[in-house]
Amino acid sequence: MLTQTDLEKVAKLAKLGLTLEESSRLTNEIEKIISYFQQIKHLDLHDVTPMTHAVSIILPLRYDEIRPTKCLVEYLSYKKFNYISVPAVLE
Amino acid sequence: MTSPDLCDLAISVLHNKIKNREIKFSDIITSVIKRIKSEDQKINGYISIFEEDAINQAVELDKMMKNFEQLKPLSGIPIAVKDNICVKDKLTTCGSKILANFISPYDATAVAKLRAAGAIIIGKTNLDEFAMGSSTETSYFGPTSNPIDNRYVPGGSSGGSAAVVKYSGALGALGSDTGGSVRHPAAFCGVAGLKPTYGRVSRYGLVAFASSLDCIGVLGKTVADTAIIFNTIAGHDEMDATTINTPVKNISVDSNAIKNYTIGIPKEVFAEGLDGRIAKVIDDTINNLRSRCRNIKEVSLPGTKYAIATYYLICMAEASSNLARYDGVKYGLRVSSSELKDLYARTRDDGFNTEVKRRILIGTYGLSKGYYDEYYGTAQKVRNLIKQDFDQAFKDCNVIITPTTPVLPFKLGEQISDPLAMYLGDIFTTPANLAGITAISIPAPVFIDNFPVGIQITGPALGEEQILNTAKAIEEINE
Amino acid sequence: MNSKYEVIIGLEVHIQLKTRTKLFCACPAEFGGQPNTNICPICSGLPGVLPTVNQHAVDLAIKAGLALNCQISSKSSFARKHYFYPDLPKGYQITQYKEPLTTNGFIEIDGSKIQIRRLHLEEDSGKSIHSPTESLIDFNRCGVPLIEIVTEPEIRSPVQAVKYLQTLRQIMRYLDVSDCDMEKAHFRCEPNISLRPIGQKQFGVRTELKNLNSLNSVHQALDFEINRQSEILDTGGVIVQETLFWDEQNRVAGTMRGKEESEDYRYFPEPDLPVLVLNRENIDNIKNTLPLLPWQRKKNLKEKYNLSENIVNIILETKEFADYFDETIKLCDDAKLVANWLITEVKAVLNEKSISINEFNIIPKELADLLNLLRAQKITGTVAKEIFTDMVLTKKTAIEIVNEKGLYLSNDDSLLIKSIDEVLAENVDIVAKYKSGKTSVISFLIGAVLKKTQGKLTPQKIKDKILKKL
Repeated sequence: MLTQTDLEKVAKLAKLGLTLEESSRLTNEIEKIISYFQQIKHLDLHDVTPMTHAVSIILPLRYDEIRPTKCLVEYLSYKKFNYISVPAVLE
Repeated sequence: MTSPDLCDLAISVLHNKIKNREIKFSDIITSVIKRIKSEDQKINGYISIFEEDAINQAVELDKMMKNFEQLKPLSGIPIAVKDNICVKDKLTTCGSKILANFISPYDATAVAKLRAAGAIIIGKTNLDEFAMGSSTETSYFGPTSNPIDNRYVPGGSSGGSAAVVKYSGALGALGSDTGGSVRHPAAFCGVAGLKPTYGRVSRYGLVAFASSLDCIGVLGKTVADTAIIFNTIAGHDEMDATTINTPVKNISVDSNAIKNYTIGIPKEVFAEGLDGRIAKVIDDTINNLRSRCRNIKEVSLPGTKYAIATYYLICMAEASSNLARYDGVKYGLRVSSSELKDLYARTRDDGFNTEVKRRILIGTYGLSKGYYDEYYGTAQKVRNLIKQDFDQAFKDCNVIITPTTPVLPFKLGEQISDPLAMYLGDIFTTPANLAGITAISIPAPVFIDNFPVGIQITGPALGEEQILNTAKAIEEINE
Repeated sequence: MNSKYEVIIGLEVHIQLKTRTKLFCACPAEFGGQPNTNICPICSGLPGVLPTVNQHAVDLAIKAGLALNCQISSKSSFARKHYFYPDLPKGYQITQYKEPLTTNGFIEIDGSKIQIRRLHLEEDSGKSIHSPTESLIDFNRCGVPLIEIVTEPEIRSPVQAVKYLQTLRQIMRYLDVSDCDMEKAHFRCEPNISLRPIGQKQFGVRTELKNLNSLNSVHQALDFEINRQSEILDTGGVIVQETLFWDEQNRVAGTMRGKEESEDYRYFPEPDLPVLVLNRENIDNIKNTLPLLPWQRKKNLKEKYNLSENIVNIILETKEFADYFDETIKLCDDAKLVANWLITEVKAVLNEKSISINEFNIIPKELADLLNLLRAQKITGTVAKEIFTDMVLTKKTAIEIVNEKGLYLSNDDSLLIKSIDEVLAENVDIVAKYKSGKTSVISFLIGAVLKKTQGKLTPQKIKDKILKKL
């Protein structure tokens, strides 16, 4: 059972600022969807390997050679003296 | 009798006219732009249109190309690109407020390959926000409507791409398919929509939704057009570690090849929830193929009934991860705040629509401490079972035929308030994404209430040639 | 030190690898330029990008793992670790979680083994500059390859912790895996520490320390924390599990404000990177490129050349210095002589000029030549030092200088006799003093001969001859 408090915790983890109204409505909708998902829990899966990749290839490795990119910072925003500026991060 | 407009013709026909010097490249672009101007206002298929660029490129081609030996597979052909695929120095919005002003510094590999094949990128098409949806109603830039009947949805999430191909506002389009997002709108709009094998087309430059499911796909008016476009974008890419190394064979579609094919029909298909009229159309089409193919066989895909739950658990978890970078810090929307945590929360609340938020929340929940094994972990195992179903079935057949969607197109606004109902529409398309295999949707020879019925042909991994051949055979039924 | 409690320390070290490019993209790994000029779409987390893995980073990580006696996994995978922070552009770090590249190794310190739980690959984050009103973020460092090395909690004192770090750092430099410059943040240490009443089986609550920028800080911070925790436990209090930030100026560790309660990183396997598969051949190829490690060279030096522990430690300080010794020894096989000169004369020059042995302008062969002249008694010790200084200044070889200045020791007995005769004649009163029993004045006579012959004769030879004469 997903409670509104549970949802608010998840929203905090995901950095989504929900209004009270949103949080209440979404709890109901999401609760229904998660209930629908319960059906897969009844399957016998103890012998099954998880499928983490859709394609069975092994990792190709990249040769260590520099290929610089010029002026990427022009496509970024919120800059100050070429840094990205954000409100103070408390440390 | 007026001759058809150039934009309504097939790619090969246009190239023949070019070679015969009947038309110029500029004529093609002029025709397409004229069509866009008359239709797109009410359809809203495009988010950005590159009219000036397209005209300039066509003029250049006309100047430069003297003998048509230099004619490349897509020379001068206007192709539209779904707005979650990056095009250099153009907006890539993903249909979202959070990226409404984002300009990409690079071309997706698939786009670069289109250009290398001579294509002209004519514009970026509308989509459900971040490709999350099946109706193209959730975009920040408004819904797209179905060219067949404007009151109806075009399907989704690549609804914009399907619609512009349908009304000939482009000669083909790239879309993305994570759970059916190329095939579903292809079915609703009555065009061909191909989802290649996972790893056959590079994902570099496709804005990630669910990394282990996403594919760039092709929409075309005909099977032949679709194949031409697919041939140019397929192949290994060193920028994408999940691409397959097998060399790409240039597919030339041949419907006669099906005489050696066994067609598989999964017995679970004709179950509850399937519109009876659709079932009949599929049945009739299969009967029509019976004489042309080697055999029709019943196969079983028992995992199908878990496909939606499995699909959504995986894609929502991966989406919650892939969308973490949209934080208002370095590009896109930022809602000003005096504290960093508010900056994140407000930007993401304001920038994402409800469906996206819903999926991020469920996905985060499914990955969180204590729930991973129960949700994401379990879904990954069921995914394996579904793949094994297909491996087994393809031992007995070459291709599998099902409907693409269980229902016909619905009206705009009709389904949007019931997310679960929307999800259930993906029952036939999600299995191919889960298994990583290839599938195409093409219109059946029969319409219902003026609407086309999508037939889906699914093939094993790297089986694009088989499914294109089968699709062509179906396309020929009415010819 | 409080002997009621056992100190339990575990160390987590992050080391920046010496590759040309970053871990997941082809931007340069080492860069000292303007902020946000060493970035590309991949390392700045733009929409649509994908990671690709740097082969050399994998090789260096395997190298490091082998040197630390770890098991190299034939299959390993990458994972995403999620948290929100401005210098982490994707909102997750690509690291390794369930299947790290290497596990189960050890480092030996003073006879005891410190077990290493794991050594894995991960990407670095960017850098921030903080002020009270805003933070400025630079992504240049995003994506630089790191290895993370985690020990079991087997370290028992701050001194041992520092020894571990020194040894680890030395090994990494020997392997050329990293320069390990703590000031450039190539080598970062995050200890965790708890106290356990002697006799108790259960571990105490542990705290983690961050922002330690030198080995001194590590020592001080650990001392501080031991004191702090002891005081709390002594008065019956409870230790709070938390991360503490070391304030270098005030030498105190404080709670990190603004940090949330234990993060849920929502690890899951990285879908954009298939499984990394290594075969026996890959690993053996790298094993064959491993240089001798400090402890192996130490064994060799002590056994072969019978050099003392102290001298050996100085020679082994850096791989380059040890190599220089080895090269010189090949050409001048008096180990004690070579060692002596290296750790006194050569080191003095290096220190004075603040250079490393690589920048030293006298190559092993030239030093060997000089020392061989000395051994053959062709020059005196004093002269040798003068020649050395000259070599450093003028970059000429020993032979050139000796020839130019005519500094060879003379074997010419006639010169010897002539000089002695002259001195004895010039210093009749001194000779008389000697004959009357004041034997100490011999040194004056020897000195006089030395002066006359300008170092062409050894004091010993002079002494022998004079004594014979007298």
